[in-house]
Amino acid sequence: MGRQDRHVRMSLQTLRVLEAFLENPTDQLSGADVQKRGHLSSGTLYPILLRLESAGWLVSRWEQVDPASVGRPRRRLYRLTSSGLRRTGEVFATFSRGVTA
Amino acid sequence: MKSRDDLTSPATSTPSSADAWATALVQRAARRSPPELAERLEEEWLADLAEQPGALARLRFALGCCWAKQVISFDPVSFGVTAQRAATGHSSIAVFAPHDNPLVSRRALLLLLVVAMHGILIYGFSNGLGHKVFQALPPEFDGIFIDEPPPPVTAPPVTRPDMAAWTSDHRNVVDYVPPDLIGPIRETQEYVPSPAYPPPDLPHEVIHRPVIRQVGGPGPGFPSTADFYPSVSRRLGESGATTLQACVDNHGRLVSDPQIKESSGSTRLDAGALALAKAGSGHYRSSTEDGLPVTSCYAFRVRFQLKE
Repeated sequence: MGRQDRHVRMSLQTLRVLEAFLENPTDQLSGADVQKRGHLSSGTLYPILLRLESAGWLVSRWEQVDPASVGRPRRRLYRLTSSGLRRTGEVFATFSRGVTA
Repeated sequence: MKSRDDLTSPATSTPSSADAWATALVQRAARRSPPELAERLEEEWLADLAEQPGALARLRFALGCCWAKQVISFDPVSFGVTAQRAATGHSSIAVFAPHDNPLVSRRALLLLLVVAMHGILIYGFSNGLGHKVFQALPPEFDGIFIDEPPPPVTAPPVTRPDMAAWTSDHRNVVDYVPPDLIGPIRETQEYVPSPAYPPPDLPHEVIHRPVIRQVGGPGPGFPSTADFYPSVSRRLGESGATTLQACVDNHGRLVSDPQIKESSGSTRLDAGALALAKAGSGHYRSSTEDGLPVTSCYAFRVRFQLKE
């Protein structure tokens, strides 16, 4: 089922999360990866990831590994959707232009 | 790192290390999240917990997950995601429709509510709500209404001496500064007559009584400040007041050069004021004690002010 592309209210922390994905838009990142790139605390990060996923900007899936063989739990990986990439580009373009008085 | 199945409830175990505490906190936070997300968040957070570098980082991560749980639980609908049952093979997908933006957001509603409450309270108290509340209270809550205090009694205005008798230029006013009577204060144990006035008949015994003193000042014929306003100051538009101290005998003559007590801020104006004071010798009013003129020193102010 397609996810409705909805507007997400921007905060500085949300921008940092999007920036982490923009480094390589095709990468699939776990929450820990985004946390390292964006320098965010877990209390801030996961609500943002869930909001972006709910708004259709991100999509997530479980890592395709066997925890027993790799010796660690499987991670949840996030990736920018095409509409998310487009909307992210619009957001950063807006900030680059600045706010007209 | 313990697997999910081996982890025990924090209530039944006694963690002995920071890692165990962190794991217990993450599990507790995830399990108290909305039920649709609990299983996913627990597995996700435990996996990311394992990637944290160091025990302190893991503990900080776990505490952050507790806060994340609070945020998600506060408005779970806005975090609606596609929850996929994993691992066991269930292919059913529970889809939670994204929350449609209402006409007025939750934050705006809360703000309106707070503003309305404040408005009601302000309106109520301005219309005597406080009085009505006290009247409605049970008898053990006796309120005392404090009336407004009476207005303070203002002292009558102090009458100033008539300046018109000795100044002819209303623009440049010499201010009279009475209070400083500088000089020796003589006790009335012995009467020393002034040469100008014959001594009255006094009893031989010493009379102790309060002395009525009146401080002198510039008198009739005192020169006008307009004549001593420095021309340079006039051109520059300088104005100001200089406080001078003059020692005057019982004939209104200066006994010493006047001194500047408080400068106007301009040396030109101060020099003009000194010149005026010296020129006024012979035209001062002497201070009196019991009506008799005496030699004394007192202060007075000379103000140079240009007419608008």
